[in-house]
Amino acid sequence: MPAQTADHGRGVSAMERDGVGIARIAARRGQAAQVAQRLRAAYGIELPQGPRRASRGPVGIAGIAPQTWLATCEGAGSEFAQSLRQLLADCAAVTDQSDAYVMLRLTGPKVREALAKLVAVDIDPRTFRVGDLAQTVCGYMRVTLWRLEDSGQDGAVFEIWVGRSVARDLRRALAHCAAEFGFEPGRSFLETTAGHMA
Amino acid sequence: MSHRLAGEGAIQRERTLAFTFDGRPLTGHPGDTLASALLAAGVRLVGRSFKYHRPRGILTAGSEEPNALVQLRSGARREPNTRATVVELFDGLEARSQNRWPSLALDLGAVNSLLSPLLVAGFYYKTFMWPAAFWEKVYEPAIRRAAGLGRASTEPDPDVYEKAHAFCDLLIVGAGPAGLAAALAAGRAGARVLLCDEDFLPGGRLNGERREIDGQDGAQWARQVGAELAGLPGVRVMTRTTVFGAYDGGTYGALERVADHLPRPTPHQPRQRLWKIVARRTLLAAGALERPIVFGGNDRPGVMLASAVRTYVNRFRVAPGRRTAVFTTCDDGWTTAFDLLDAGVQVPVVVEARQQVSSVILNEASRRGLRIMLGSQVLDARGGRGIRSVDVRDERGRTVRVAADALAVSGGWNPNAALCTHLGGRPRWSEAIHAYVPADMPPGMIAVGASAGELSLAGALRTGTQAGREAAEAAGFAAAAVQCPHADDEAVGGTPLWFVAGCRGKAFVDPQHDVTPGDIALAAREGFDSAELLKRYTTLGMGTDQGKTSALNGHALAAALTGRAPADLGTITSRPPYTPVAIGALAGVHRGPDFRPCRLTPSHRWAQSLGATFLDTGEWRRARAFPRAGEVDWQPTLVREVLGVRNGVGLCDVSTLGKIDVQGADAGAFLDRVYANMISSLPVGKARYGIMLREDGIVLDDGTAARLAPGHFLLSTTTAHAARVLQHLEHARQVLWPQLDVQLASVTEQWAQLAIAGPRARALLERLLAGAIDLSNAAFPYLACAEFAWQGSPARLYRLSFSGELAYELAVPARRGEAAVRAAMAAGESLGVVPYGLEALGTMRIEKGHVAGAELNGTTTAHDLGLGRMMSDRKDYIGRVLASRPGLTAPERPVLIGIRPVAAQARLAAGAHFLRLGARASLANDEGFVSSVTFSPVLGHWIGLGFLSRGRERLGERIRAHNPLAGGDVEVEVTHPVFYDPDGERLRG
Repeated sequence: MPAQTADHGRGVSAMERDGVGIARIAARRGQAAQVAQRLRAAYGIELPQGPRRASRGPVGIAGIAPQTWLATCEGAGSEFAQSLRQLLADCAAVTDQSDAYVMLRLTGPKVREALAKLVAVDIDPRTFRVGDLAQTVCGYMRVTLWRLEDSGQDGAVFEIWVGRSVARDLRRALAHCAAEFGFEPGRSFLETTAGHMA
Repeated sequence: MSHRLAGEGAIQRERTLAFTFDGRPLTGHPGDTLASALLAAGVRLVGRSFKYHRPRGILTAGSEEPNALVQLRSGARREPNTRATVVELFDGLEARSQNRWPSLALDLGAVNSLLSPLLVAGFYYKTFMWPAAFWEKVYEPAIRRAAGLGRASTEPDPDVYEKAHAFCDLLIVGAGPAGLAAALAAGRAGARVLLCDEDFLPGGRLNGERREIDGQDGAQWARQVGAELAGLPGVRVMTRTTVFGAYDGGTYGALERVADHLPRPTPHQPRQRLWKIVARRTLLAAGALERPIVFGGNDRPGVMLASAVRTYVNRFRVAPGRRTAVFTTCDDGWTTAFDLLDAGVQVPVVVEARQQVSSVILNEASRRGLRIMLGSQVLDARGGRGIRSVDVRDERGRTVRVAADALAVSGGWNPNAALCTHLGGRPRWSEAIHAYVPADMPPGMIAVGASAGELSLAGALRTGTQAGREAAEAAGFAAAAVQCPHADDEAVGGTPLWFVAGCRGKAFVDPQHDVTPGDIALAAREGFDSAELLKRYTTLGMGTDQGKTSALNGHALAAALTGRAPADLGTITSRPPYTPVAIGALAGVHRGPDFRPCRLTPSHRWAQSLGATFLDTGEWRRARAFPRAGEVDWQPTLVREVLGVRNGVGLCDVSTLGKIDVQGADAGAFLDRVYANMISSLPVGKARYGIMLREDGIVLDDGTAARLAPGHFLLSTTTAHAARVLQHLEHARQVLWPQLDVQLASVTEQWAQLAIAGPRARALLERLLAGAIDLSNAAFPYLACAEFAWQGSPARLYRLSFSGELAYELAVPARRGEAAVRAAMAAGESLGVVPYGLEALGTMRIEKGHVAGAELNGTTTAHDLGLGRMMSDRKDYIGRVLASRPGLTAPERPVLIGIRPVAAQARLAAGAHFLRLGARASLANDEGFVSSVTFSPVLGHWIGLGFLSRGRERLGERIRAHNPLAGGDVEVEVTHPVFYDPDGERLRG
């Protein structure tokens, strides 16, 4: 579970999500049904067909390409990819991506206004529903964006992922776009901006 | 004396704003434009024309203004060529006139007027031709100095700009009566509506007229609708926003002038914001633009469009002149006369070109005691820096002079259809209104109101309401029965005049580019008589106003001169932007350091802390070298780093190389098809060098393939080609051989990868890895690879060498990369470990004759690179067939060789071309080129790699490396490309 919330009544708040295990699952030829069955049995999640994300408990599975999904597990590390590899050994190629992405959770009353400056997809609540996912561009960076359940007090909640090597530029872009609405970066956001990849 | 009128209007009289024009302090009110405030202060002269430096004033009240171009602000925010008619007045505004010296009132450039017989259209093409040498040195600089109007600031822009995206069911361009009615209909139905207007006040022409809608004042109705729209959840109203372009796929560009009306933006506020709008449907409700008439002196200050005069009187409460004559060819012009009289301004005469007008108009005129002249035309507007009288030719041909300090002109109306033509659709001629109306619309767009040729207010309300309702229904929203607002009656008849024959004074068709009827006639005589050719020859319509008030008059004149109807000339199509867009807005945040995203390596912070220098290579920022105190330039650093590696051990972050994970039962077979050499024969736990060809036989990339398990490979690619190679492989997987069971994943970001190279590399790694893996030469020989656990996380080790020394590449998860580097440096401290970057990396690979980007340049084959023996003859692979084309296997093709200078201390330059000694430097004698050079610390002199025709047969020969661009001609000896350890003994230690 995310450790810090960062809302102090500001328009946009952002928090970096750490400690999430991330694994890429690509079904072997003709094995997609097997993959679906095993994941359903192990995690109680229906494998999404298309750009959507389904989750239950700490595990989420997002459809990112034909026959390809990105699975996440809160609080796990590379062990998640390891356990998936064992679960899906003969029916999918599993690749650990826990270090490949930086993930930011964005929320706040003005989060859509800020996102409109960043991503090129329609994020209106009626068009981009809870669980919808988009792979798009944001200031010349490839990003993956999805919408989580609305939070009671903060309203809409999104997660945006970018390759670790450009994370600094995404944080800068986000801080710039959200500035006019009042931007509240969470402690880990600030730390990471000043820290590892400054 | 003030020209300000009493009465309400749309200005706030309680507050006064101070501004300056050419240094002169003046005042205005909130709600004024710069133009209205200048007119209120009695300032008529605001600029000098482009070519002839004619005195110019304010012609319009909108963005179609051709004349009143001023410079705003000063210093870094100085902004030239801004139309005074759209500048929202603010306190402290500084404005200056342009294109005049020494002053606006006394401009020496006016002497050009005397030269006007020479300065006709086309003189550029004919005059500056001889002598040819003069063009570059004399004519072009002189023309450049004389060209243009304003001067831009050369200081960095202190403001920030932004871009944003918007999506809607209905985009409405223009918040006049048609646009407001449409927004109301669609918005009430629940559709997502985006209503944009370039003005700061919605309402369009309603703000300048005294019309009634549903029994109330038109401007009042507009404000009321605006308030309702603000409360509708799906509706967004954007004022100060120009939709400047229509693009493919229902996409539109719009510019929001967020802070142009403020002295400076508030904190975090952008100056302007560029919107990319995607709309299901679009309504063009941009109204119509009034046409001037061409007659003598029609460019003089004081001559204005009739509807503009009404706008100044009704909206801004300003009388542009105290005695304003009216010249009209249509019913609409009479409204100006009536509005002026009702506001207390003298109207000496209404000159109507038609022989007859309706009795309703005649009654209104006689009720007000107005002097009228039917069947008459204004010949000349007379006066120097502002008109003082007009000469009128009455219906009997007599000339009458009337004293007037302003002249309101109405030649009819042109639907503002520019946006419809941005995708190439041509409008069609309407005989009913003698103008072009939209036809062949961009998909999803329709025109309403005056934009569609529906010139009455009732027509605008009706077509707008209907279109709004239909758009909502098309988007799936049930439109409630919306009552169409009711407008009072009006007359909209007219007959075009275009131009007046028999004028004495100089007349202007396009005032911004000083195009006269004489220019049009000249173009017609010379055969440039279609609309496009006419434009290009005369520059008609090429100014910042893009011919909004001049194009059709020019076409009509050309048509008349060549005995045709205006519609026969064809018309021009517009291109975006509708009005100028600042380049800053197009750049948005992407300027300076934010121009493009920069990818940082896992060890970046650590390298910074060591004072490394960096190089931006493609998408990445990589450490170039790690200079130490006292090293004055690159060479001592390079020598220390290279010798430090070759004699001890060095450490380099190589995370940027592409890493592709390949899995699946058919992974080996797949890789055999994409690499030129065999990969499926690779044992588990071993790696091998591989080259990939393009389909046309040229080398795509080189790299390594490592086999971690029977169905699991890890490929490496060059940094520059990483994405390209993955794309190539995905195409092969998805399109060429979808039947193969193979899965690909990019893991470039997942792993930090460190190269540890040098004779002491094993010793360093043994200390670092502390027994996690057996590093003996027997257990882990050259080209071995393995996965293992280290410090609680997965790690991989590859024994690969780019430097030619005993070397390893250690891969750890990216978040641990920095810690791993620091640990390696600590482990190697007593071994004298040196960090090294791109510079040393590049030098060492050249010493070893390894090809890299400069050699893999998209034109070289495996044979050229000396890698022909890698091409397997046991299997088929991409590029095999076309690589054997005669052209790619010809014996005289330049092939990879090494070079060393004959004179020991001579420097070499990449890009130099090879010539035989004594051969003349010509393309015919060109035998190849130098691809990479470096100073070799090991050999103590410069070395290079290059491609030489039949090079392998010419080892030892002396040739020239000729560098025509930078100068220099160096004699070199042809050598084998491997300069160091040719047998590779150091690799296998």
